[in-house]
Amino acid sequence: MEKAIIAIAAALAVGLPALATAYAQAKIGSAGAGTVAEKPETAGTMIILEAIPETMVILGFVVAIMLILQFA
Amino acid sequence: MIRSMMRLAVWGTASSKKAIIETLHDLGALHLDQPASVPRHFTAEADELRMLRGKLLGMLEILGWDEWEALSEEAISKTRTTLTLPLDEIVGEIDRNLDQFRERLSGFAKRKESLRDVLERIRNAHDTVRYFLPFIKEAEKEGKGLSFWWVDRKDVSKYVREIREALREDRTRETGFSHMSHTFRDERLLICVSVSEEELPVIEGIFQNNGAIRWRPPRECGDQDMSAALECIEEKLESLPAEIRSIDTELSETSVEWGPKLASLFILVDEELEEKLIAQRSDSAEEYFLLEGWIPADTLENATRTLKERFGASVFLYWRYPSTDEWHEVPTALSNPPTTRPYQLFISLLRPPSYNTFDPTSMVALFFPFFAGCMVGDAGYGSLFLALSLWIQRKGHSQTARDVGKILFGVSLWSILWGIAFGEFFGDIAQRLFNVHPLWVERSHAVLPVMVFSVSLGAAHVLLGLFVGFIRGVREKNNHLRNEKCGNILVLLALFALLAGTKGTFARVLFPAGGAMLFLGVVLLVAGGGIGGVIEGLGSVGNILSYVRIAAIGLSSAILAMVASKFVDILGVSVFGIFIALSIHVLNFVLALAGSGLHSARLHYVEFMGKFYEGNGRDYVPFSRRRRTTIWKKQS
Repeated sequence: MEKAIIAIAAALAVGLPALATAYAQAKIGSAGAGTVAEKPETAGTMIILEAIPETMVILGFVVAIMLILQFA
Repeated sequence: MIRSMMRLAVWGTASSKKAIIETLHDLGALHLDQPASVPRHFTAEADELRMLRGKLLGMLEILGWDEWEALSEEAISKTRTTLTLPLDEIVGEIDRNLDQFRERLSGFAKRKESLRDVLERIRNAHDTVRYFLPFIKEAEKEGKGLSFWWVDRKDVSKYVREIREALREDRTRETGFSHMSHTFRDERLLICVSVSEEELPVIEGIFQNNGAIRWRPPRECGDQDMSAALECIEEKLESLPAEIRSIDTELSETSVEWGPKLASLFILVDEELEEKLIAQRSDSAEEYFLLEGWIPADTLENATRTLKERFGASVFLYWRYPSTDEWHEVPTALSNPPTTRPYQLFISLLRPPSYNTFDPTSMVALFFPFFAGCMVGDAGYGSLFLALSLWIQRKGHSQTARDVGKILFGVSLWSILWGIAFGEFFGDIAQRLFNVHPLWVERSHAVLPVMVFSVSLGAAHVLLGLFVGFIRGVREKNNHLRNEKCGNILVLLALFALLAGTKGTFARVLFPAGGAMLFLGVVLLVAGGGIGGVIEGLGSVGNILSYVRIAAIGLSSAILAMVASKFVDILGVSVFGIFIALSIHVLNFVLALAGSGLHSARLHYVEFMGKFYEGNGRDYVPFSRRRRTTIWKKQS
């Protein structure tokens, strides 16, 4: 039972930031595609903007690993 | 590195203006820098050239010619030598010839378009009547007349009833009325009626009076009986595509023959136009003119010698280094050795760095393949990357493609090395088959050490970025930048010292030293960037943690590769098992290729370059003979 709760906690730690990242990247991606179509020289900036929300899920992953290694 | 630039001013006599501009065009090194206040002139001559250029491009589009990359210098030179008269004198002649040629091409294009329309109609007609073929043949055998009508589906029985009633009134003749109908996908219904020729007008009258629409064969096959029309339709279905193919062949042959010639002419006209515009924009008086711009210091000697040798006393040259106040105006030209040059691609996606700042290409060349290789960390995938990179380098048509191939080569080497360190070859295949053990750790089991290693890499990388930022602050004598970066470095070092001070034998020394550094660092951060500086300092910690993605992506790739092997365990060495395993490996390969590149690029753009890079520079655009289609197309 305890292990199951830890597994759920780890899954939530990755899953919720993943949803948030997906939402943010979808919004940024669609806006970015339009911007790059208009101004190709903004491609680099758009890659940066698109990549910024990924930090959430990466940190979520770290938390999940910590949970598993610490308690499981 | 950023090339050192010089300000070059070229004074010349008005009589040699055209020749001097042509020489500068040939040299292709001077970034002309005309004052913004100089208006752009539109002379009739320039407009004629623009018109000619537009016509040439239009004809190339009609021809479907797009082999700009393959256009050789020889073809351009050959066209140049055929134009013996000055270009402005023969513009009219070229223009007239082009008009005739364009008419011929337009004729081809129109004919092809019209044949396509006819073919479309013939196909539709064939689709429509093929259902009625047996009925038509039967009716014609019996010598009856035929008539086709589009009607509403629900009205069919009404029409049939009316026709029967009308024919019943005329009992003097044998009518032999019969009909057939077919409903098409769009719910339209086509009814075909057959009746004796004498009664046909009566029936057609009934349809017309009720608002039905008559269907006829296309006019290309009209005015003949239905059987002959069908034969004609089938004949056209065979002959029209052949005619279209023949026009395509003719256009293709014309394109092969004339495409390079027209493209060369386009380039020459484009160059002539550019020279004219430069001549018009130059600061001119009656007897002299002045052109000014920026030239890389390493090409200055060649440029000045060439100009002096060709024009002697007709040209006066003056050059100097840019002053500090002018740094923001100087265009940025990057120059890197061939091994690191492909990595300029990453910098080209951003605005160029300001002149006299730092070109991060060499650092990107060092760290990008290292990080990407660490994420892939599989000798098997690395070998595939290696093969792919060699193929791209050999087959790549454009310079960008070849650069990508070279970058991939670096990534592949590091992937193989990291694969040996992690003992991975398409997952755990090498371990299973040859009992190969990792040189360092197995990623899928030792998660924490790899994560700690990734974060350590991040700390070193971010500190390096901050150090470059600090050096920039010192060079630019920017106290705010210098204090902020120095404070940031101290805060990070203090955090590491405090972290190390919580454990180990040096705790007593590290803890107070860390506290002191933290205090000094925060003071410098506030002095350098105020509250924003403190936030920046906290952001650096987040930046370092962001490098844990190297471990995270590597771990997911390693586990996915192992899952592929597990399928063979579960399903056995069967076709299905191997198919599933291969599919997962292909998926993993694509994810590794895209993921490692994107994430490694992001680590450089956001975490590393964010610490010192400011893309405030101006692109170096020398006045040169253009040979790249993208530039031509953009300006056309």
